[in-house]
This record gives sequence, C-alpha cells and structure tokens, in this order.
Amino acid sequence: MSTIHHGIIRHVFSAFGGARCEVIVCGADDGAVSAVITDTYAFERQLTRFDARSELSRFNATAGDRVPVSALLGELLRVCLDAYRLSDGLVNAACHRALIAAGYDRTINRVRRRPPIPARRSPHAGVPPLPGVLEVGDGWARLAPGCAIDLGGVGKGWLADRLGERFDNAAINLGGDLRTRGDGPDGGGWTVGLCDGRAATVGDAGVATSGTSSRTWRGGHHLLDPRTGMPARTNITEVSVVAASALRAEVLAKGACLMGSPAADGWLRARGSARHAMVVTTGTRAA
Amino acid sequence: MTVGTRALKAFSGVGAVVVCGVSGLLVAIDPKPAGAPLRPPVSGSSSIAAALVIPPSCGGVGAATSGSAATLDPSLIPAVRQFAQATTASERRAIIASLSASQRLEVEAYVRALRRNAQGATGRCDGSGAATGGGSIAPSVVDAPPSTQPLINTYVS
Repeated sequence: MSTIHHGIIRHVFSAFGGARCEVIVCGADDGAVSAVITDTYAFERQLTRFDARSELSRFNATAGDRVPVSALLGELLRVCLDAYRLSDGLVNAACHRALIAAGYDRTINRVRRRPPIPARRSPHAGVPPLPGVLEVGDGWARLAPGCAIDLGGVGKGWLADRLGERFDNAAINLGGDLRTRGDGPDGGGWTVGLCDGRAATVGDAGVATSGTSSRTWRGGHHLLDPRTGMPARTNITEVSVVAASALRAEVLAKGACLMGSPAADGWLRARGSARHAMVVTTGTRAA
Repeated sequence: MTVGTRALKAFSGVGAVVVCGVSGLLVAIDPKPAGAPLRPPVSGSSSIAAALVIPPSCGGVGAATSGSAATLDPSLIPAVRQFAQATTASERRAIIASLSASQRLEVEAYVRALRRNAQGATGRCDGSGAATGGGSIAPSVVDAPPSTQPLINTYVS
C-alpha cells in the first residue's frame, strides 16, 4: 500500500516473516522508497535463519571452520559482538540453538499452525557467551562447533538505521524497529506511539520495542533469556526505548525486558536511553 | 677563634662527602619493593606483566589484528569511496542508486565497518556506541500531548 500526499510518500509492506513495515519519506522520489523495500527483502533473503540457502544459514552450517563472509554479514556479526557487550550479555546472538529447542524453528506463522510441542531446554546450559564462540576478521568469520547465530532484532535495527540515513526527513519502521530523521512532515518532529499508549515526539532518533506479548505460540514466545536458554520469565510485558539509533534502542529494549523491573530503569538510563516506557505485570510505568 | 676561608671550604667539602655517603648507604640498605624494581626486566614474564589486561577489540579476537574492514568486490570500491565522502543524504542516494539491492547493502556495510575501525582505533571500543549508534549522542525527545495521534508506532514484532 502506497500513498503520496504533498511530497510525502507513505508505504506499508510486510517483511521479516510477516512483520509490518512502514516507510514515510518527505521530499524524496518514489524510486528511493522502492529501493528501501527492495533492499529490505534482499537483506532478509541474505540473513534469514529460516532459509537454508541464505548466507547466514550457510555460515551456521560451517560452524567450526573459518569461512569467507560478505561485508554485510561480517558487519552484522561485529554488531552482534558489540550488542553483547552493551547489554551485559543479555542480547546474545548465539541463541539460535536454544530458540530451536524452545520451538521457534520456523517462521512464526508456521510455528503457530503446528501442534504445540513442549519447549526443551537447550543441550547447553544457557547460551554460550558470544565473544567466546565467534571470531570475525577481515572478510572471514568462524563460529565454534555446535553454535549458530540468530541476528534477530539486531539485524532489523541495523538496517533501519542504514535505510534512514539515506534520507533527510523520513521514518523507517521495520517491524517495530524504527529510525527517524529530520523534522517530520509538518516540521514539528516525528510523533511515535510507544508501548504504553503514550506518544513521544522525536527528531533524529531510534525507537524500538521488545516484549513477550508478540511472536508467541502455545507454550512459548520468541524472547529467549540467554542465561537460562529458555523463553524469558520477566515481569515486563513490553518496553519501548528511544535512543540515538534504532539498533541501540533495540538492544536496550531487549536487555531491559530480560532484566525486568525495577532494575531495568537504571540500567537503561546508564546506557543512553533518552526515554523509555514499560508495561509491567503490575501496571504501566514510564521514565 | 677565627677560621680561614680555606678551612671553611675544606669543612664544607668533607661535610658534603659525608652527607652523600650516608645517604647512599641508607638507599643501598633500604629494602626494595618487590613489585617495582628499579631495573624492571625488559623480557620474560613478571608479576606485573601477568597482571596487564589488553582490552578486547570491538570485533572480537580476530579483529584485534585486522587493519581493514572486510573484503569487497573491487568493482564497488569507487562507490565505497564516494559514499564515505558524501555529506548529504541525497548524495548518498545518488551514489548507490545505480547499484543492485545487494550491492547497496554491501557498500553501506563496508563503509560502516570502516568507520567502526576508525572509531576503534581511537579507543571507542567499550560497547558505548561504536556499533550501536553513539551512546553519547542523546536524541531530542519530548512527550506528546495525551490526545496526539502518532504518525507511526513502535511495537513488538
């Protein structure tokens, strides 16, 4: 779906296993918007874990060997290492095996259609620390044997930032990972709805939400706690974070959700959250 | 009693020798701290060397010795150079417009990796923003009035 109104182009599309994505661009041509959509699909094809032909799947299949990687995969793997450090290990891309064990072994729509299976604990105790199992060099990378990578929201956040940087005034929303640039359509900023129903007006910023309320199936959900190797048990249902980039917001939101309230408040502030909103099991809080 | 100039000089010289000698003797017999030898070894291991911790690089073990970002299709190098030097969004769009989707992503990833390496070389390797978007840069954000209809929403996907 695409609409054009007074130099503003708005397009909604589906990617990343059915996630709702949206592009709003002011003062650019429709070719640039088409490139955003095309590149999102290209990114997904190259880095999805649900297709054995993708570069990420082929990389996972060669765990134990030092193999060549593209500039894109190499960059994303380095980003995963940095996200691990920023989140004190709570955002751990080495969670692929544990996600499979938890039942998330195919796209979320197909998981939901399948009869429920009991979640199994990963054969490993928790998820191994990412820096201990992933090496990234110049054009190559190596995973420890038995390990596999799931980029998860880190990939979407990174891509939203890159696509957003192509415009002076735009909002790119990739399944809830959002990057805004410029002053918005009316010059007053971009008004973004947060998980608690309130809204914040931002300029150049990243916004992301993490939680246990979506990508769920009978007996499980997609938010895996690397400390246990199981779907997270947290008192935060959803948390939205505004930060300097979509990637940073994504990492902070996921880490905060896993950490739980009230510890997440201070943890977020110490790591560059400009604003955050939480829905916790005992009520709604914002900071 | 009067003392001649020559005698004063002699006393002074002898005094200086005595003071220096006693000081040297005290330094010589004073026990040296084991952890701070006056002549530290320049090779081999010591307790100090063992205690030194080299901080890890942003890119893990392999990146610690890397000089460049990654390998790249040589045909994309001109685009990488131009993209890295572009100062406006419209310039960046124009540079990558003629490329395929995969090539655009490769160029953007490569330039991003180059910038990360540059940041890492200046010591920004602490997870504070080299990869995750500038932790020291706070975006402007204000609460919208309660009745405001958002232009766009963030949500769990």
